[in-house]
Amino acid sequence: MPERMKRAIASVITVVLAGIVVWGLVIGEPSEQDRVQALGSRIRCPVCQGESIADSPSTYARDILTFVEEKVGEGWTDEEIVSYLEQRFAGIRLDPAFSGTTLLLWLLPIVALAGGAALAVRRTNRSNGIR
Amino acid sequence: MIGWFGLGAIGIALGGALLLIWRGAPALIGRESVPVGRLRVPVLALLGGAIAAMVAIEFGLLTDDFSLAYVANNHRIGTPLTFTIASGWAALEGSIVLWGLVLAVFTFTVFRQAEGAESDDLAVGALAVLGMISVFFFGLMATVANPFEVCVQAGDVGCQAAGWAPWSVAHAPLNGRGANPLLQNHILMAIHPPMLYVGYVGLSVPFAFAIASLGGVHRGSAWLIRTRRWTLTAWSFLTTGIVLGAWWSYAVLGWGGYWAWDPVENASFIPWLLATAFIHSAVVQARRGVLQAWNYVLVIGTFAATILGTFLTRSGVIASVHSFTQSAIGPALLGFLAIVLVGSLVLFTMRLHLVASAPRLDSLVSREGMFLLNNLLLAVFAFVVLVGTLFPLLVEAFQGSTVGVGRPFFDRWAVPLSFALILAMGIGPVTPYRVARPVVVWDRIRIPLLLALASAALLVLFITRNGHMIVMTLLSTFVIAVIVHHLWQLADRQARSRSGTRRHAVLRLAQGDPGYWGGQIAHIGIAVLALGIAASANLVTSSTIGLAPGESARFAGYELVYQAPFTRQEPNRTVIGALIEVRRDGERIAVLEPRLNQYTGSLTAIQTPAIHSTFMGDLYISPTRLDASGVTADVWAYPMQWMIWLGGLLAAAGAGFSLLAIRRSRDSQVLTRA
Repeated sequence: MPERMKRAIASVITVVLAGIVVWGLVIGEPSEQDRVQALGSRIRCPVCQGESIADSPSTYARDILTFVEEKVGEGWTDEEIVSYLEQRFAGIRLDPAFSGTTLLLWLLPIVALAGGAALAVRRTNRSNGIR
Repeated sequence: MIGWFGLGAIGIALGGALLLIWRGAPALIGRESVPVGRLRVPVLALLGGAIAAMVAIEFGLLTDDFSLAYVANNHRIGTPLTFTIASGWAALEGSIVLWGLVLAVFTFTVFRQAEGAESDDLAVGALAVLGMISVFFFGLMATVANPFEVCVQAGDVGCQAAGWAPWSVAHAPLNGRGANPLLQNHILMAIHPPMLYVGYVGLSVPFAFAIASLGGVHRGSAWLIRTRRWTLTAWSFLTTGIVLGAWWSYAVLGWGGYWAWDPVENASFIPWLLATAFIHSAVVQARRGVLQAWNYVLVIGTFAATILGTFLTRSGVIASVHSFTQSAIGPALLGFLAIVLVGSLVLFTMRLHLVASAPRLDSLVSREGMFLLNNLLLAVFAFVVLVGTLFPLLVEAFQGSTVGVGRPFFDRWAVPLSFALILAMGIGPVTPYRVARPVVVWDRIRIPLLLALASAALLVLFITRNGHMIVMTLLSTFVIAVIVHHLWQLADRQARSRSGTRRHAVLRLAQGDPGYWGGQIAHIGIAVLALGIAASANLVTSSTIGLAPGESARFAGYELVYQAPFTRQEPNRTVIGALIEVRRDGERIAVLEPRLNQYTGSLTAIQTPAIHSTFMGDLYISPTRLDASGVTADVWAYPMQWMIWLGGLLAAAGAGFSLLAIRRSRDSQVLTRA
C-alpha cells in the first residue's frame, strides 16, 4: 500500500476513535450515586479528624451521607445541600467557599500560574517570530 | 553510661561540624582557597560522632535500658527485633539522630568525591554549608531533642520525667511504654522513614553547592552538574519513601485509602514536586545555559520545603497551632527555616548580577519550552499544596476560626495540573531543542496518538464512561506509546544503518544515553501511577457488611462467607480476627483474616485490614466491630490497585537507571546529552 493511502486510513481511524472518546466524555453525565459521592467528599465528618463523610466509616458520617442521598433524590442542587448542612454544623465544608477569607486560597494559585506564564513568555526571544 | 557515650558522640559530631565551617569558610565566602585535605578531620569527626550516636540509641533499645527516657517511652520488653531497631527512629529525638546520620554520610560522600582534586573550592564551600546544616541538627540533639535524656522519675510504665544531664540520677521504670501501636503494625514503618530521610537530606547537597557557588562566585553550571548524582539519588529515595508511605497507609490504617492530602503527606509531596522540577530544569541549564537564576531559586525552595516538611511533621503544629510551642523543637525548626530562606535569598539577591544573564529562549515551541511548562506546572502544583496545607494553620493562628481545606480543594487543582503535566510528559521528550518544527513533533506522536485513542475508545465502549478515567487513559497510554514508539523508531534506524538486530540496537541506545532513557522509564512509571490513581479514585466500589458466623454477603462479584472468629496470642499483641472466605463463581479463592490488633500497653485496638490482591484488583476488608454476635466490616473493591505501587517504584527505578550515566562519565558530560 502506498504511504499516502496508509496515512489517509490512519487519519480516518484517528478521527473515528476521537469521535468515540468525545462521545463517551459528552454522554458521561454523573449519575445520582456519583453526585452523592462527590458531595460526600466535600463535607467534613463532624466527629472525625479531617475526614470527609464519604471517607469516614463512622455511623455519624453514614447518617449524613444518607441525608445527602435523600436530598439528591428529591432534586436539591449541590449548593442547596451544602449550605443547608453548613447552617447546621459550622465549618463543615472541606471545600472552602469561594468568598471571604478563603477566596484568597483560590486566587493565590491562579495568580501564581498567570504570573509564571507571563514571565516565561517575556523571557522568550520574540525577534524570532518577526524574522 | 550509654547516656554519657551518646551525648559525647553528639558533642564530637557537633565539634566536627563547627570545625568544618571554620576551615571551609574562607573558600565559602570566596576569600582564599582551602585545600580539600584540611577538611578530613572535621568530616570524619562528624561522621564518626553521628554513627556512634545512632549506635548508642540502638544499644539502649536492644539492651532494654530504661534509664534512658527515650527507650522507656518508645520501647518495651518483648517487642520483636525489627520493631525494636526501628524504634531508634520512630519517635522525635531518634528521628533527628537518623537525620543527622544521613546528613553526615552525605557530607562524607561529598568529601570523598572532592578529595582527589588538589583544590576544589566549590566542594569545600559546599562542605562548609553542610557543616552549618549539621550544626543545627546536632545542636537540636544536644539541647531540645536530646535522645539521651535520663529518666529521673519512673512511671508504672514509661518515664514520667526526664533530666537533660547525663549525670542525673536515673530511676528506670521496670518496663517501657512501647512504640505507637500504629507504627508497630507493619514492617513498612521500619523502612519508610529512612527512605524519606535519605530523600530529604540528599537534597541538602545540591542546596549546599548552590550556596557555595553563589558565595564563592563560581560561575556556570558546575554546582548543578556535579550534584546530579545526589539529586537523582535523593529523588529516587523520596519517591520510594512516599510510595511506601502510601502503601503503609493503605495496608495498615484500614480506612480504605492510601492518600488523604493529610498535612504530613503534603509535607513530603511539596519537596518531591520541587525536586522533580529541579531535575528537569537542571537538564536545560546544563544543556542550553538557560534558567540559571531560576535554578538557584528552585534548589533553595526545595531545601526550604524539606525543612518545612520536617517542621510540619515534627512540631505538633498540625494537631493544633496551639500545641506546637509545647516543645521547643517547633520554634527551633521554624527559626532555622527562616534563617535558611532569608540567608539564601539575601545571598542570591546580592550575587544576582554575577549570575550569567541567560540567553533567551529561541521559541516556546521547543524542548526548552516544554521544560519551562513542566517547571511552571510543577511549581504551581507545589504552591497549591503549600497554600492548602498552611492556610488552615494561618487562619487558625490569626483569626482563631477553623477552615477545612481537604481533598476537594486539592483534587480540584491536582486533577487538571496532572492532566497537563502528563500531556507535557508525552510531547516534551520528543520535541527537538531550540525551535521545534511542528511537523517533526507530529511525526513522532502520530502513531502513539492513534494507539492512545484506540485504548480510550475501548474503555468508553466496554468499561466506563467516567470522564476523568477516559482522559487519564488517553494521556497515560499516549505517554507510554510515545516513549516506546520513539525508542522503536531510533532502533529501527540504527539497525538499518549499522547491521545488527533491533534488540541490540535498543540495548545500545539505552546504554548510550542512560540519562535520557532513565528519565523515560520514570515517565512510564508516573503514567502507570497516574492511571492507577485515576482507576482507584473513579472505579472503586465500597459497602458495609454485617455478618453472623456462617452468613454470607455478596459484594462486587465476590461472595464473602464469615466462617468463624479467632484469637491469637503473639509476643507483643493479642489478635482478634475474623476468618472470611472469599468465593468467586462458587469457588473459593481466598480466606482473609481482617483483625483487630490489641497491643500490650495500649488502650484501643488497631483495626487491621485484610487485602486480597489480584491483577484485576484488590478486595479490601477492614473490620470495625468484632464480637460474639458477628463481624461488621467496611469493604472496598479497587480495580488494578497494583498500578499505583508498581508505577511509583518504576519511577524511582528510572532515576536509579539515570545514575548509571553518571558513574560512567565521571560527572563531566552527564547532563549535556540528556
